Amino acid sequence: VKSGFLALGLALLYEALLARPGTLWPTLPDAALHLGAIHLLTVGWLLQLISGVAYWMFPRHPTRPPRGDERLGWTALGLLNSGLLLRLIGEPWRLGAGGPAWPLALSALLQLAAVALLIALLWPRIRELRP
Amino acid sequence: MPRLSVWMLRGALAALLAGSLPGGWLLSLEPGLDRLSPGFREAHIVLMLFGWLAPFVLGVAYWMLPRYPTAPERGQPALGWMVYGMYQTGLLLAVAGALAASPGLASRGQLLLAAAGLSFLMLLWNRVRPFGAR
Repeated sequence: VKSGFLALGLALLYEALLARPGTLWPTLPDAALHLGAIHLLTVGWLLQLISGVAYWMFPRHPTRPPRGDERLGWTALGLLNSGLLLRLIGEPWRLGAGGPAWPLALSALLQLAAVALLIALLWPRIRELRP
Repeated sequence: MPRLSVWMLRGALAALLAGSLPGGWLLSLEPGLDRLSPGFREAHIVLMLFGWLAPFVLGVAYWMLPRYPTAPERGQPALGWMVYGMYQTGLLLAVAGALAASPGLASRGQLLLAAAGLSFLMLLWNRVRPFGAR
């Protein structure tokens, strides 16, 4: 949830950067800033906020550990934020200065792995509760 | 958690995975461009917004919002299932329309999505009330 809030703050900064005067950092590509802001909002903020609250509040397992393997959650958090950060660096580099494609491919892989881990963590906790 | 929420939340997680795949593809191959695969971009957006985000939030709301004091506690379940079925059909049509570059199919899907989404909101509307209110 805190990572989500940080991403929201960063997305707002990106939006402010899009409104900068034309003479300020003219090589910074607006398309990359725009895509970065959208993904900071949807992946960085919403996905992390929602999955963080779901991890906290969804029905717990009757056996230990009640919320599933915590290491999976920490790994997913690390992978998702590393992937997002790599995108924020790699996309302006690629679009603005013809940088390499590999940071973006790696970013996609890291984020996909994080999503798969989050699903593995939450899926078994989505179940009917009998009173 | 009611069975309808279980289906909505698991369906949303499946859509999250399905929507992440074209997203990863786009990011790896053509960041900021849509020349090679415009349908992938549209499918990615539809799956992430209407396949993952909206049903996940609505499914949790159906589970957790204050219940009615008398049965059925969460409103007519049959209505919820019908609307969810409509929603998923609309989602499939919208994604298929995007991938097949068929604006007609995509707009029919979007219409069905909108109708089902609004109906689901109506199902939830009366359950949003202050504590103690009946």
